[in-house]
Amino acid sequence: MNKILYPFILIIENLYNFLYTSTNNFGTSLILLSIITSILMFSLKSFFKKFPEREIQIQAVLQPQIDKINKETTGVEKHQRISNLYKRYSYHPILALRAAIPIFIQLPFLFAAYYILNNYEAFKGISFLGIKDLSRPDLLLSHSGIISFSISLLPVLMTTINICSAFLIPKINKKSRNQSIVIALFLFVLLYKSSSALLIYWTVNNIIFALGAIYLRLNYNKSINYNYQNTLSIKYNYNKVINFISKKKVRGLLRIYFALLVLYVIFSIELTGMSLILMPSNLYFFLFITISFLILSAITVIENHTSKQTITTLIYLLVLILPLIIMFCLKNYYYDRTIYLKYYLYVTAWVYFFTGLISSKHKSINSVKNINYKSAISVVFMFSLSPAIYLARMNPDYLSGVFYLIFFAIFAIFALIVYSFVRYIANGQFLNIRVAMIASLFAFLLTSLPIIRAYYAGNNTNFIDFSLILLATFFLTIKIKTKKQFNVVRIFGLSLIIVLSISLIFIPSETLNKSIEVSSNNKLEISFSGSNSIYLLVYDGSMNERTYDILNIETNTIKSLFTKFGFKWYKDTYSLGSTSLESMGGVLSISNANLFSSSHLRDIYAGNSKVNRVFNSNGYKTYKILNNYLTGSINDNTRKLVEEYYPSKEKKIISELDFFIVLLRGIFQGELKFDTEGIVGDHTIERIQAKKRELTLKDGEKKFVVNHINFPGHTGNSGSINEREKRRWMERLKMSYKLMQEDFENITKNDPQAIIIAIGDHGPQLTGDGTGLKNWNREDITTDLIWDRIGTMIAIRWPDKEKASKFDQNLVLNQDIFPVLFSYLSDDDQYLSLKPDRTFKGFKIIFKEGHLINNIL
Amino acid sequence: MLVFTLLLFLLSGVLYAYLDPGTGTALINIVISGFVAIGYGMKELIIRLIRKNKKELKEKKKRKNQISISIFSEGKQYWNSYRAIIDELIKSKIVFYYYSIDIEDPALLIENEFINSKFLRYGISSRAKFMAIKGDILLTTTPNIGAEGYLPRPKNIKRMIHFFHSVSDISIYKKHSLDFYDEVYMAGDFQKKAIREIEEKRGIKTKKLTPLGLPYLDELLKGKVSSRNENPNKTILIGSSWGKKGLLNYYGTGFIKKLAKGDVNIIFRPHPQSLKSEKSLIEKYKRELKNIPNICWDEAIDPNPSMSIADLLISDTSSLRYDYAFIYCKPVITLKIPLSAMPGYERDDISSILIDEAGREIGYVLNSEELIDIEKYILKINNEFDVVRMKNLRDSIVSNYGCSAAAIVQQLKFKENYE
Repeated sequence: MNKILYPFILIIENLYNFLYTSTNNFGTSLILLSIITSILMFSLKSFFKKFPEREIQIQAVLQPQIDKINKETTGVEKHQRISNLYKRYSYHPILALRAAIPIFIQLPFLFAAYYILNNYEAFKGISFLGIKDLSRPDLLLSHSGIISFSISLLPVLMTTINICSAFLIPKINKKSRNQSIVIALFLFVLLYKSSSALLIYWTVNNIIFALGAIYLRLNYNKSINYNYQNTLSIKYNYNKVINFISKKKVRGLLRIYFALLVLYVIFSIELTGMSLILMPSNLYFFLFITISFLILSAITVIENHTSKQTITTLIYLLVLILPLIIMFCLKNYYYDRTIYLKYYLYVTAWVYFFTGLISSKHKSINSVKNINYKSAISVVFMFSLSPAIYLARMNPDYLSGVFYLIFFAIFAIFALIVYSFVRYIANGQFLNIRVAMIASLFAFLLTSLPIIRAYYAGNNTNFIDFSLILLATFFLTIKIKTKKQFNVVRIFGLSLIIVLSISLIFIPSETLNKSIEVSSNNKLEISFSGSNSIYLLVYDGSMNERTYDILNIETNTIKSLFTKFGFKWYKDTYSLGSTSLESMGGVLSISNANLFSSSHLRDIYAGNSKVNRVFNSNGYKTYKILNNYLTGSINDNTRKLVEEYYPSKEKKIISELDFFIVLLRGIFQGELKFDTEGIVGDHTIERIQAKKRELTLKDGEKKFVVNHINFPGHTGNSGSINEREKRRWMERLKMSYKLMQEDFENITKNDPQAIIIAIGDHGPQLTGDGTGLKNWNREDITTDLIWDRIGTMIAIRWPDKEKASKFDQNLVLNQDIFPVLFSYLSDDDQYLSLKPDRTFKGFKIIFKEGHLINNIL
Repeated sequence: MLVFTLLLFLLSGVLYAYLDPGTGTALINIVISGFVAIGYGMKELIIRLIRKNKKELKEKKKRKNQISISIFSEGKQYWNSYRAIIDELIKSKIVFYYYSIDIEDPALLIENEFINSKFLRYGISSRAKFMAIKGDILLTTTPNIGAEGYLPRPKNIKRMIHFFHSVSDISIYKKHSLDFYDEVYMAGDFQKKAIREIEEKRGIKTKKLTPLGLPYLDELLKGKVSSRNENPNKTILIGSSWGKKGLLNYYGTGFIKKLAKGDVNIIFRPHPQSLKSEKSLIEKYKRELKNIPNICWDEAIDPNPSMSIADLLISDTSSLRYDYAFIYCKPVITLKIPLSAMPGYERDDISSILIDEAGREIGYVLNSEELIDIEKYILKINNEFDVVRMKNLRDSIVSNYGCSAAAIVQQLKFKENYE
């Protein structure tokens, strides 16, 4: 409810704040607010007065006829006659509701005022005109003694005024008057204990209403319309305006104008965030667009009088306004959704822009007989470039300088190819406009469809639906021959956008990638007394002892390292995830996270996780030393859970060919926005190490530090392993040892009581094809290959090894670490039950504790 | 709806606190009407499901082959023009459509299988509804449809026909009055010249012109009252047009006050349109003439009662002059409104206005100087007036006097008449 009322609350709140800053008195500004709003309501009401008047007028005509019919006939015939009567007068009983329009127009303001004044903190302890506290009932008549009583005067005053005004209204019948009195008394009971601020507000409102009633009563017999000449000229001018706007060219230009306005809104949101649009001045701008569009559509409805065209206009209107409204209501709650809504809006704005462009050139988009091939090609270009511009705008990190041109050129060339192809198939049978239409649709779909479908289908790599949609579109466009069919397709397309944008609210958030963890159901209620800082150091691709053996790599170095710093290296450990994100998402949410979408996993890793919440609730401060690939774009809720990110998540533009390719690949994999800036960023390993040192030196707080180190990493997804690659990986392994030593030394020296968890997130993938075993048969997949992929290193330095040995008996999975740790910290083994099931599913097999249970999946 | 209602009741506390007592109760009534509407909708649905009237469908198909006739009226003030035509159409069993933008249009009260009448709603949506009218023919007495600043011509109407609602020519219409019409049913041949002259001047296509008479005059004739002036004093009826061409607007109330000083009774009859669109002016005149006992106001739609007792009519360009002269065969004094006072009318584009000259046939035409001696002219006219000459004049001007509606329906009925 508050969400709907938000704009109104905002208006009244701003108005009140303005009045308060001008008068510097809570009470006076309250009275002024009441006067202003009641004048506003009064004018709103009189503006919409014609609706109830019409209802009265039509009832006066219909009622005698209905009475007559009731007398003459019964049953079905009666109904038939009444139905015909209604048809003759273009009436439906539901229209009786229009009598309430003046009232309903006022409602949001009333509710908003109630909401603000009843809960306004600032009124506490403020006295005004003898009332001690504006946030409480006034209790002006108080007496304490043998008989103690205290009576609030304001409700009495309000009720008296209400009853008086019931007698003051001219032309009111007895029944309504009695009802009004009952209502006034009812209100007295209901509002008796409300805050006196609220009562002052309403009493002033009622006084103004009573004054209005007196005025009406005095002037009741003098109501003469002196303004006829004026209204005549207004009507004349109105017609003139309509005739002007009715011109197709003007409408085309208007469409362009509105499209540009909407684009402006989108980009200003993009640049400055949603909060900006909620600022009053921008809110008015938003309202201005909406209202302008309403007016434009009303005019279009008048001009295009058939009901079908009216529907089209309404759909056009909905398409543009709905995403804006939804976006407005969702605000920052669902970052992902607003991105997609913005995309829809953007698409629509472009459609408006181009149709506007065409209709401003030609008489009507429907009557375009043909266009020359130059215009056709430019239409195709523009349609294919519009998503490209949006994507470029969304991912500025990936493009710079010449790459912008290359990026756009790729889309343009593609569009041209499609155009030539369609032209070739059409073999001169189609008009240029049709060829252009089909080609634009294709070029447009090819870039935006992956994004849309990825959103609904998750990270499904199956592209059959995509191909089917393209194919269907092709046949559909070939079949369009008449104007009527074109309109059907157009309405269908526009309706689809509406459905898609509405669906963004209703899709369960599980398929929506993000924000599962935000809901309180996932909160763990764990408290512990331990005050050790926790360091979770993830050495990407570090493996367990068994995998060392499989790969024939010596273990002395690492073993000595662990012994030196008092680590316990666990045996035959593995992770339920085979990628960094799946693995670490699982660790921090204490679950098997393989089915989570990547953006959800990034959200978890960025701090929106069970583990993080447990630490936060126990007074820990979280530090995330993670590159942007692992965190993605961080939404505001997640950001609140973390004390500091390093590298900080501010964007930097770096021009790199890699980025460009990542962008292109991402688009065709259906991702709208990429945020992997940190991969290559200028945050060198030295700086990261320095940051960690700095953190260990921070005294006096319980820390939960998460750091993901890119060494040794896994092999390069090349599809086969060559010697050079192995050699390079070995160098990286040595580097990881060096970093480990640095880290362990630093932490044990500065924070000796800390618990250090050194783990790998997945294996190095040095055997098989060096990557996901995509082309391998199930039978050829061995346990060794699996150890190489998920056999992770787990080594923990426990300050109290004896205590740890009580709980770490069954530490097998990366995902077991935190249940064990929580048990350790609280000295209570109940949290061990949180451990997830140990079955790993992936690479076409099922793996559990070193065994391939079943090689059929 | 239920949730909404509950919400309404739950929040009623907040609501009523602000609402004025008068509308407070309206809310409850509105909730009730909401339920009524739902009930009605359900009933409608059930009846539709149960009953499929095949006969009706068949008949409708049959009717499709007929010429579809649509009639458009601005409201009850033109009922006199349409009534006879509607009666005649129903009598001839011709299915037709009737559209009105006035909720009080009497035609909407008719329940008959041949008339499909419809009220075109209020305000802006009436304009849209008007434009959606379909059919082969749109018959209307409203001029200026299609001209800038007026109702646009419906796109799905093949032929738009105008018929007149007064004994006058198009000089009293506003500019471009008939530019977008395909055919005109004239009151009589005298109207032809002016229409053709304008067509030529503007270079627009020539309309088909058929002299068929004036249903409005016939309707007046039907309602002719035979009562007479029993008062020994003479009764003078003053009838005014509305807008700038009205005599009150141009000459003011001075001459009326002067006339009232003599031994006469005066009935002042403003144009029905003045009562609608010039309320403030009428109020002003009423205040000016309030204290004169021998002036009374006639605001009835039907002018017959006043006309029957009046011995003389003083009017301006109003067609009331001819109604009076032709039906009651009594003299008329016309007060001249100079051309310069009438910008924006078709008159500007017409060289000679026949109907002005006809003013001299039915009485005197006075300008502002002659108006000073109006008593003299009143005396003179009573002596010189000839009833037979008046009847001859009437028959030469108006075609099909007394039976125009039948002629119009005959013309409408046959397709050949449209080629």
